[in-house]
Amino acid sequence: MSEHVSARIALLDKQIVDRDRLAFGRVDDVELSIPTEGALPRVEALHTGAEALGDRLGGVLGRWIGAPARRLRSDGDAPPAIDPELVDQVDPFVKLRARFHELEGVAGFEHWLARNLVERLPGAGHAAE
Amino acid sequence: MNPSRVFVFTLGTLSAIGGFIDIGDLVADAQVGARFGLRLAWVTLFSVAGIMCFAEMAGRVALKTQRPALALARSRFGPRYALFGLIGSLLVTGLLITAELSGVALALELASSVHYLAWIPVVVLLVALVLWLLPFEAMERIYGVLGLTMLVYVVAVWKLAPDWQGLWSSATTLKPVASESWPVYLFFVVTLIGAQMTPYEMFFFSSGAVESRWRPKDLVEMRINVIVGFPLGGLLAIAIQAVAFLVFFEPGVRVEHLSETALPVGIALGKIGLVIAIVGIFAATFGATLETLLASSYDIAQYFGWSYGKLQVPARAARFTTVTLVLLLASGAFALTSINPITVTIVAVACSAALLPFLFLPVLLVANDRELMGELANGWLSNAVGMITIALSLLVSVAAIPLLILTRGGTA
Repeated sequence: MSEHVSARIALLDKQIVDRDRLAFGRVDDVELSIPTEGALPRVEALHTGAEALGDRLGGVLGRWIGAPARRLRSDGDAPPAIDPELVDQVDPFVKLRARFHELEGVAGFEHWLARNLVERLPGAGHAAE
Repeated sequence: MNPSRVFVFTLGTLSAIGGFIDIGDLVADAQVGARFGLRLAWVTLFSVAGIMCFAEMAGRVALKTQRPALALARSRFGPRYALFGLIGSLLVTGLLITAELSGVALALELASSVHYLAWIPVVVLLVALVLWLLPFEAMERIYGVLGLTMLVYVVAVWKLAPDWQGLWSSATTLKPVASESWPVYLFFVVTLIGAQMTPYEMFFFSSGAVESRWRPKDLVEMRINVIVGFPLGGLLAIAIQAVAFLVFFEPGVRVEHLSETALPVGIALGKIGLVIAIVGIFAATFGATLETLLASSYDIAQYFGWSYGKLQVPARAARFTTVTLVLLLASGAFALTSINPITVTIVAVACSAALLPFLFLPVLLVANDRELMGELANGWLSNAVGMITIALSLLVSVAAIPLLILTRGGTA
């Protein structure tokens, strides 16, 4: 993404969908970097999930929202982040070029629940289909 | 209009009726009728106008953007405001799930003489099966058609051969009867508004429009649903008030049980009437259980951006499916504590009234965003009715909780 747009308006809190328009989260935070002094900031990663949202909200409420997600993440795994190179379009949704199931470490709870609870119910179908 | 379009429009209309009359309405209308006659019927007219305006607005946003109005709230107004709205509406709608579940169980108790608490697990299972097995439109259709049996209340008004002059003068007297105080009168104004202008109807209507894949070309259909559905709901509400007035007011009976909302129909129309009324109460509360439950899970899923709804196989919306299941089980468990469902209902609708302006405002703002809405942005009529509704609901919001405490839920 080389266009110069306001990350706050164009990205933050937007719905993220995969290649097949399957929704799986929102842009809960945006990681920026400033390559050199005075240069325009670059989007390094889109963070999604309750942990990123909790950190952004701050305060007691933010801690409550973020804590379960932080605890559920395996030790050593990085917080869920999406490479901005995967972003296909940002309006009206942030649409990715990849499929949800190809994204590693994103919305782990969704995968876990699908595998361990919902897929076991009769007629629930399969998440990866 | 070709025949299939007529059919589709009927479905939506039916769902609007089913959505309007729920446990909150049944209880509030019967209590109000028994204690105040039709002196609060004007509140129902106001509520119908308000909810029509906001359901239409939310429906229009959904047609244009293919997203429910509240799903847009977070990206428009930030995560804090949206979280406040989410928690508030979850508290209210969550309480209502318990109340509606109990309502279904109470209807079954009326039919079977088996205590309602024994029916709660059965109802929970039935709700889970219906949600799991039926597609969205079939669900709307079934409880919508069954909900039409509520029209028996309108028939009952005629059958009771009222003094129409007396009914009219009651409806046009905008103050409490001699035996009641102003705070109690005002508390019931708040209760009726809370029971009839329920935000979950608006959320459900707009999420339903997305689930039914409505597009801008369906504008007329959507509006017909609003224009026919909600006033019919309002008519039923006033009929419930009227029969309760005609049967309970003179002897001074206070409505404290759901069975008493069906009793006047039994008196007017005999056993058959009672059976039809019980079917109607069952359908209305069952439909409302589905609506409140789905509206709560939609709210959560939309806030966090999860996939949701009945268009996907459940495994592709695992978090949504799990949240729905957990909410259903938790509401069933709460109902099983034998907490009085009427009390839960009254508290929930009073709190709902307190939240109204905060949930209506974002919808009004989004519907006015010309960049987003284009030619479907609000016109002067929507804005005028919307602003008046929000202004009055601000008053209601300020007064709701103090009145709830002051009048001890209308029992003082």
